[in-house]
Amino acid sequence: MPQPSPVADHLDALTRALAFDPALARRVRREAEDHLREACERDGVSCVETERQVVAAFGEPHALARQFAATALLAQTRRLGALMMLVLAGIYLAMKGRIAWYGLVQWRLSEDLQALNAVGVWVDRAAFLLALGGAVLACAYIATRRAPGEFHRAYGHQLGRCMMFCAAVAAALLVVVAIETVLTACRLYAADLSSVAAIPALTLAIELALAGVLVVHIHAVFRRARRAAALLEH
Amino acid sequence: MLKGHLDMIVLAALAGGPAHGYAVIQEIRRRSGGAFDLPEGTVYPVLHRLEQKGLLGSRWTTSESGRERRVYALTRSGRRALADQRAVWRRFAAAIGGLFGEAGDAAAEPGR
Repeated sequence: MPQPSPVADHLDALTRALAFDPALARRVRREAEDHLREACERDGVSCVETERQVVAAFGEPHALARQFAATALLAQTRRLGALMMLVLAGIYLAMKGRIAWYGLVQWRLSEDLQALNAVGVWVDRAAFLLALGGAVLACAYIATRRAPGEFHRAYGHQLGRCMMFCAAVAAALLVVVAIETVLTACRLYAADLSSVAAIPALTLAIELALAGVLVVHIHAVFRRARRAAALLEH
Repeated sequence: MLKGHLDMIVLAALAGGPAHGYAVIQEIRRRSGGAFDLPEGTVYPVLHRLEQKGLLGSRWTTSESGRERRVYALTRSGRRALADQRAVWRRFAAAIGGLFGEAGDAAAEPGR
């Protein structure tokens, strides 16, 4: 029968409690293992009873995870805010690049597409301005948050609001990219496909990729926040 | 009260030079005469937070026993922050001492 190891059990429990941030969990596990092994060695011969005392002195895994969560989640939310601004800038540059290309190659729209384009551009601009305004508000809100010593329900609500702001910006950006896709597809469909179509297709692909990256990142931060919120039930 | 000053306590424990988490908690215990007997793991969230703020730097090293360990050291900003907090704390302690009449007691006892 294998010898029970309170240190190994404690490290496993700590890793599980820190599941909201796998990279952090790996680093903390390595640090905690060094700490607990050294404490066992200092206390004398390593036996199960010594390990139990060392583990008890280290602290309860969920309580420690709540302290890590406060800082880690805010750092992730700040990174999300920075990414959101980069995605906005990237989509803006891709749109401007495509428009500049249309001018350069004197790519004019047929008359029946001009009405659709006018409406599309108007909605596109409104959605982009909405996304930009939302992003500025979200970043201001995120920048003014301060991590408490320990993750608690009210702080979880604050982070939830940060993420909702980011999700609203992402939704507006998805509208922008969807309209851009329709308008560009119409333009490409109406024209003969040639090498000049490569630039609009490439800039559109960049916009789609940027929007996708933002959505995936928001989803990941939401998932981590949900896991951290589960710590409050312990 | 202790929780509100953990950042300063950890910075002060690292003022003597780089150390790993276990050594930090031992140093806190030794220098406080055992008064600050925190759960030992509590020091790690503080170390990580201070590192994110740029007040500490850290790197992996290998201990004498061959185990990997993370060693933390004060950065230039960390030393500055510690000096600022030390000055604030001394002013605060002197003011509280004045309120409790300790300055007057000290003056009345020339040997002190």
